[in-house]
Amino acid sequence: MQFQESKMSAACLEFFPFLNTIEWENHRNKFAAIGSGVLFFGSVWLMIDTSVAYSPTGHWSNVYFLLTLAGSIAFFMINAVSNHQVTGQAMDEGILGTKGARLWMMFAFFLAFSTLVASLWIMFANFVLVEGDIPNWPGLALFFHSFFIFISSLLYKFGRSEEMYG
Amino acid sequence: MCCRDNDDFSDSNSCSVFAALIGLALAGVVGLTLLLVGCALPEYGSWWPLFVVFFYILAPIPTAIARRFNYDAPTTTPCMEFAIFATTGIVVSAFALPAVLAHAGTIRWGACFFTNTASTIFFLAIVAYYYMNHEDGWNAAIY
Repeated sequence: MQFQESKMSAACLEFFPFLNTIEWENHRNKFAAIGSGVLFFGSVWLMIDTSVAYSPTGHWSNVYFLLTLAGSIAFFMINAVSNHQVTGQAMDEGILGTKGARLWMMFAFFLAFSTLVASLWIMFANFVLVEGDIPNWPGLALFFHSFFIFISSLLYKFGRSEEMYG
Repeated sequence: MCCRDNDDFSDSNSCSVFAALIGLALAGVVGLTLLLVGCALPEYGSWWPLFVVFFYILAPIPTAIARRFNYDAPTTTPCMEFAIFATTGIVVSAFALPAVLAHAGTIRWGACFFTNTASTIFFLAIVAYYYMNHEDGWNAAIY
């Protein structure tokens, strides 16, 4: 996983020469945390904005915030387990052990993908495949917010390297 | 005054500290003034933007807590990274709240612009304060 990440980042650095001026490796964890925070909270505020703008028109239901909740739970579950525990390199194994850590991680990704699929379903069922002229933006905002929360959890999980911890 | 005496080098550091403190205080006051102008101008007239002060107060707290836990830390710890994540969220919220209010029509877009400018100045002042206080000790403080 680490080797593939460094190959992708090397390719990004080739195409954007400006990026060579920033010292990446030492501060990689901070950049990953900042990017993840911007994506996560940006998507939450996008949902709030869409809810405020479209609730009066009757095309929105606040039940959709359950997707935000599910995405956030998936975020915390994915990041609750360190990479070392899942790959079996950790010193102490904790209550669940390596097998339990992998099962937890799998369930967390299961929840994250389910959130994505649910947002796509709602977008298509309520905002695309409906007769008549309705606003499409709420459905798009719903899908984008769930996608950005997923990307944010991936960035927080895999964008930080654990080599730097004491 | 401390700045006038060039032979005494022990005071030069304290002089620059005073200048930095006064500059930061000025920046903070300018930011708050812009925020109040955005509320108090007659054509805006709405006091909703003052809610971002809540985010100004919250912003330094996560990193302050994380610093307390790991003073002699290696380069970074999971606690500090989560604090950075939470701080980023608070800063994003401070910029997003006026935009959502303006989109909903509660405040005007001019007031949103004033408030976001004030937020920028204020958060830059907070970052400069951290630089000033931690440039000698803790490695890789924020950057």
